[in-house]
Amino acid sequence: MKKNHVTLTIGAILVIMFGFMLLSYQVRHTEVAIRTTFGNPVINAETGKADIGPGFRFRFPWPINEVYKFDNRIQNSEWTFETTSTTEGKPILVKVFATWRISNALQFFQKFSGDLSLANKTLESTVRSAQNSVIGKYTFEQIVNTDADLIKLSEIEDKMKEEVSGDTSTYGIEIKMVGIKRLGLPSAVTTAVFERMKAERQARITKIEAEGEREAKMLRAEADLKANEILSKAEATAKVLRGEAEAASAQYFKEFEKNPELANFLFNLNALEGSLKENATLILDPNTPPFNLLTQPNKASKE
Amino acid sequence: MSEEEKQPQGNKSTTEEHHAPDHKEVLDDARSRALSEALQSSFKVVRVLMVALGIAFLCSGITKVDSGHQALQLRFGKFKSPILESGLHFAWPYPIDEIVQIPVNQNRSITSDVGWRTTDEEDPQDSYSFAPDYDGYTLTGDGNTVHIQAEMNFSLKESDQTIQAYEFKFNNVTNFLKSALDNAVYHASASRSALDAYTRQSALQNDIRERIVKVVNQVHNLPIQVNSLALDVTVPIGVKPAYDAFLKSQQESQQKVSTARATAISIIANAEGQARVIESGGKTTADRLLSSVEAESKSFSDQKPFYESNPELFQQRLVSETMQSVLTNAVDIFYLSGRQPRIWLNRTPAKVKLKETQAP
Repeated sequence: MKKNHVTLTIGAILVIMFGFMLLSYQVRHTEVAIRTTFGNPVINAETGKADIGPGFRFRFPWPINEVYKFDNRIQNSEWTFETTSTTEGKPILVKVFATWRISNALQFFQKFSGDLSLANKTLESTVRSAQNSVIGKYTFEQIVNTDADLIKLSEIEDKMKEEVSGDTSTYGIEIKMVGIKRLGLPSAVTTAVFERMKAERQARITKIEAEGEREAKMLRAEADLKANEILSKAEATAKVLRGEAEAASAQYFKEFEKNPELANFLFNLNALEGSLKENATLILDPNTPPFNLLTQPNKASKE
Repeated sequence: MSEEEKQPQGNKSTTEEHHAPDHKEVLDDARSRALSEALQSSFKVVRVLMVALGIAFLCSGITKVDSGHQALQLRFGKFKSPILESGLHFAWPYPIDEIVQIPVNQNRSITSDVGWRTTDEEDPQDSYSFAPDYDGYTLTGDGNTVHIQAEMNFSLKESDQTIQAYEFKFNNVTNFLKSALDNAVYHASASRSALDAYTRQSALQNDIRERIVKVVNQVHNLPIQVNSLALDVTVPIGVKPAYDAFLKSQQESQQKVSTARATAISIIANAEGQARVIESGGKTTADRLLSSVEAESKSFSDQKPFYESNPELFQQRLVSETMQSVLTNAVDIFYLSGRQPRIWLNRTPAKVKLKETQAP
C-alpha cells in the first residue's frame, strides 16, 4: 500500500500539471492576449475589449478555447532612405522611424493575424505615403533653417504621426511617434553644396577681416575720445579747485588791508627774493646799499 | 543480505540433500526472484531520484540578485511588486515565478553615427560629392552639410517605473534609443549653421540632450539619466581647408580687436592716471596758495607792530636780509665803478666758466 501511495501521488501531480497545461494559460507582462471560443473572440463585458492583460487565466481545452498572445511592447520600425520633394520641388532624402504598440489586440489579430512583420510592412507603405504628403506641403527652408521661428521639423513629424495614426486607426495599433532619423541631399546637389560652402567661407574671410580692422579702429578712436574727455574734466576740476582756493584766500587779504604800505613792501620783497633765487646776474650801482659801504663808508653808515 | 534473500539459499541446500532436484524449475524460480529483486532496487533508486528532482525543481526559483542589480519578479507572468534588491530571494519555479535581473548602476552607451560613418563603417571620406546610400552626414540650417557622431552615456534613474519601463516597455530598447539619438542629432543640426555646429559644439550638445529628454523621457515615458554626451563634429573633408582658413582669419581678426581693446583700455587708464595727477596738482596748488596766503597773513600780522613802531628801520632790516640772500644766490654780480665795470664772481663759480677763461 505504501508503494502505491507514492506512485499515486506522483501520478496525481503529473495529471494535475497536465490538466493545468490544458485548462490554463498565463500572459506575460510584456504581452497581451485574446481568447476565442469556437473561433469567436471573447469580449470582456466591463471593458468592451477582447484584450487580456498579464496574469494567470483558466480556459477550456482546444478546440473549445484558443488563446493568441501578442508582443505588447513598443516596436521601433525604420525604413529606407528615400527621395521626396518639398513644396517648391526640391528633392530631399528622408529616412523616418516610427514607434508603435498594439492597442487593440482583437483588431490587430483580425488585420494582421497577429503577425508583427506583416504589420511592419503595412505600416511602411502608410508611413511613406504620409512622409511624401506632409513634406510636400513644406518648403526646404522649413525643414532646415537657422531661424528657430521658421524651422518646422517638429511640426512635420507631428503631422506625419497624425496622418499615420488616422490611416492605421483600424489596425489596432497606437502610433507613439514618427520621427526623422536621417536627412540628405541627392549626390549631384552635394557637389554644389561643397562649392557654396567654400565660396561662403572665402567671402566671410574678407568680411571678417574688414570688420576686425574697423572695430579695432573704432575702439582706439573711442578710447582717445574718452581719454580727452577725462583729461578735460580733470583740468576743469583742477581750475575749479584753484579758483576755490583763491576765493578762500580772500579772507586773509582783509588782514593786509590794515596796512597796505607794509603789505606792498612785503610783497615786493618776496617778489624780489623769489625772482633772484637762482642763476641771477646782477648789475648794480656801487651806491646801492650795502655796496655803498665800500665806496662811502661814513655816508653809508649814516644812511 | 536480508533474511528474505538468504532464505531461498537455505531451502535449496536442504532440497539437494534430501530430494532429487528438478534443476530446470529451480533455475527458473531463482531467475524470477533475482529479477524481482533488481526491479525493486531500481524502483527505489528511481523514487529517490524523483524526490531529489522534485526538491531541485522546487528550489530552482531561488535567485541571488547580484550587487548593483535589481530584479523584477513576475508571478504567472504578472509583475509582482516590490522590485527586489540585491541579495537572496525565494521564488517559485518557472512557470509560476520568473525573475529578471537588471544592472541598475551600469553606465550604458548608445552611439549615433548615421551622420558620420560610411556604410563600410569608415570615418568620413574626402569626395567631390556625397552618395546618399554610402556617406554619413547631416544637413545644417544653412543648407550645408556636416558630419556628426554622438555617443550618449546614460544610466537608469533608480525608480520602479524606470526599471519596469526599460525592461518591459520596449521590444528593443537599444534600437529605440539609437533612433531617438539619431533624431536628436538631425534636429539639432537642422537648426544651426555648419559653422555653428563645427565651432560651438557645447550648444549643439545641449540641443541634442534636450531633444533626447523630450523624445525618450516625455514622449515615451522612459526616465533615463543622460550622464554625458560626447560629440565628434567636422565639416566635409573637401571644404575643411576653407573652414580652417576662415577660423584662422577669424582668430586673427579677434586678436586684432582684442589688441585694440587692450590698447583702448590702456589709453583710458593712462588718461585716468593723468587726470588724477592734474586734479591732485590742482588741489596741491590750491592748498599751497591757501596755506601760503594764510602764512603771509599771519606773518603780516606778526610784523605789523614792529613796522608801525619804526617803519624805516624795519624796512632797512628786511631789505638788508633780502639783499644778503639775493647776493648769496646770484651767479654773477656786476657793479659800475667809474669807467670799467667790475665783476664779482660767486663763491662757487661754475666749472664751465672757468674753462672758458683758461681756454685762450
